[in-house]
Amino acid sequence: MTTPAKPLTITITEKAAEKVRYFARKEGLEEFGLRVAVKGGGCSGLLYTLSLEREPRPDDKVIEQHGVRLFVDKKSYVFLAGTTLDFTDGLNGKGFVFHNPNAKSVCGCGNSFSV
Amino acid sequence: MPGRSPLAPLHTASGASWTRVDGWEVPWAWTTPLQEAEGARQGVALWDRAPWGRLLATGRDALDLLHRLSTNRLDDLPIGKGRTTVLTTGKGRCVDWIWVFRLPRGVLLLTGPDADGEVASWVETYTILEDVALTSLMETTTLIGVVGPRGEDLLKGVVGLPEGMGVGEAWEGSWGDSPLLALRTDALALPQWDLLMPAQEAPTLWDALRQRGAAPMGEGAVEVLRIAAGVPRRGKEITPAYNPLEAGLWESISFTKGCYIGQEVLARLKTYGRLQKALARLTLEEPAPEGSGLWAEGRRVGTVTSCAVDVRGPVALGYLARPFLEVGRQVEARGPEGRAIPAWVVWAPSLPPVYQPPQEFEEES
Repeated sequence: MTTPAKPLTITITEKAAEKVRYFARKEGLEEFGLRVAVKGGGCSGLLYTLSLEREPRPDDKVIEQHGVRLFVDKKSYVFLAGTTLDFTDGLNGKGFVFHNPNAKSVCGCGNSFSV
Repeated sequence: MPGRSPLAPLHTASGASWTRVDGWEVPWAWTTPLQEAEGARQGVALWDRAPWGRLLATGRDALDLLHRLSTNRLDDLPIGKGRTTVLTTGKGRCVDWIWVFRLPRGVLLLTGPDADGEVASWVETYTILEDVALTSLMETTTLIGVVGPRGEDLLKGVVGLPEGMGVGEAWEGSWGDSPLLALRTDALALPQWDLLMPAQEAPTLWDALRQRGAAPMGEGAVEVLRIAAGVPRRGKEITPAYNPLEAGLWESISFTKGCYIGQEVLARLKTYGRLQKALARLTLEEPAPEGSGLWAEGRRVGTVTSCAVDVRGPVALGYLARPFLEVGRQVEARGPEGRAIPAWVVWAPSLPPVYQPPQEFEEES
C-alpha cells in the first residue's frame, strides 16, 4: 500500500477565503489576489506574510480556490508547497494560520517557522 | 594561508613579535603585553584590527532584515548611529555579537574576528525576497583601533575628529584623499575609536598616529584589557555553546522589540529566571589554560574561557554555575595536568530571579 503523495500546492480553506474577501471588500478592492510569502525573521527564522495585491507578478504561481486567487512567488513557494491557510476566530483565535508540512518547528504564535 | 594585515610590513619593521589567532597572523607585542595595556589605560594605544569582520549591507530591506534576525532593536536606528546586537540560532545560542552602524551608503556590520564569511552566510540564509546585498570589505579596507583616554586629542590633531563623539556614533572624515570613518565602539571598555579606511592608505595613518606619540599594542595587551574588563569575544565566550544572556550581553538585547530568531527561548529564560550559568570574572593564583575546568565542592562547576596576566596577577573569564556566582567565592581551576589552581570570583552578574508563581488572590474583607 502506498500513501498518497502530499499535494504540492497551497490550499486555502473556505473560512480563510471568506475572510480574505471581507478584507478586500473593506479596502474597496474588486480585482485582487492574496499574496502569500515568506521572509527572514520571527522566532524560528522564517516568517509568513500576507498582503492584498491587485495583479500577480510575472513569475508568480497563481492558485484559485473558493473565489480567491493566491499569488505566490517562486522562492516562497519552495517553503510553502503543501501548506493550508486557515482562519481561526473566537476569543482565543489567532486569525490566519498556516499548516505547513515543511515546518520542522513553529514558534508559539504560529507566524514563524523553520525548515 | 593565514590572513595578514596591510600593516604587517610596518609591524615587522618596528620589531613586533607575532602570534596566530583566529586564522590570522597578528602582532603579539612590541614591548610586553602589560606595558602596552598600561599604555592604553593611561594614554593612547593603536590596535590593528584587520582580522575583525567588516561587511556592508545595501538594499532597502537591509536594516529591517537585520532587525528581524538579531536581538537588539535596529529598525529605529538613525543615520550615523550604531548599536550592538547578537545573531542567535533558533535555540537562542550565539552566532556572533556584532556592531551595526547605519550609514548614508548602507548598513555597516562589524563582526567578530574572521567571522565576516560566517555572518554573511547566516544573513544570506534568511534573505528570501528581501532587497539586501552583502559586500565584504575585508580586501578593500582595514580597521585601526585608537584606544585610551588620550585618543580623542590625538585624533583631533591628526584627522580632525570632532569633540565629544559618544559610544555608537559614526563620523565620516578623510585621510589625504581617502574617506575615513571613525566609529566609537569602546570595545575594550576604554574610550575607543575604530578607524575604517581603504587598506592602502592605512600605513601612512598608522605612521602619523605613531609619530604623535601613540604606541602600538598587540594581541597580548588586547587580551589583558578585554579579560580584565569582562568583555566576551567570539570563539572564546561567544560560541554556539552559550546564549547571550549567559554571556552577559543584556545591553545588546531588546525585550520589547518583538520576534527575532531565538527570541522565544531568551524571553522564557529571562521570565522564568532559568539561567543555569553565566560569565564571571576571576582572579587566580597562577594562569590557567583556556578550557580548564572550574571545580568546587568536589564537582565541576564551570569552565575557564580566557586567561591573561594583568598588573595585579592572573585574571580570567569563565562560565560558572549559578550557585557559585558570588563575589569572593573560591573555586579551583584544573588544567589538563589536573593540578588545582586556586581562583576567586571578582565579579559576577546578578541574574533574573527564579519565577515564583503568584499567590492566590485574597479579597479584602
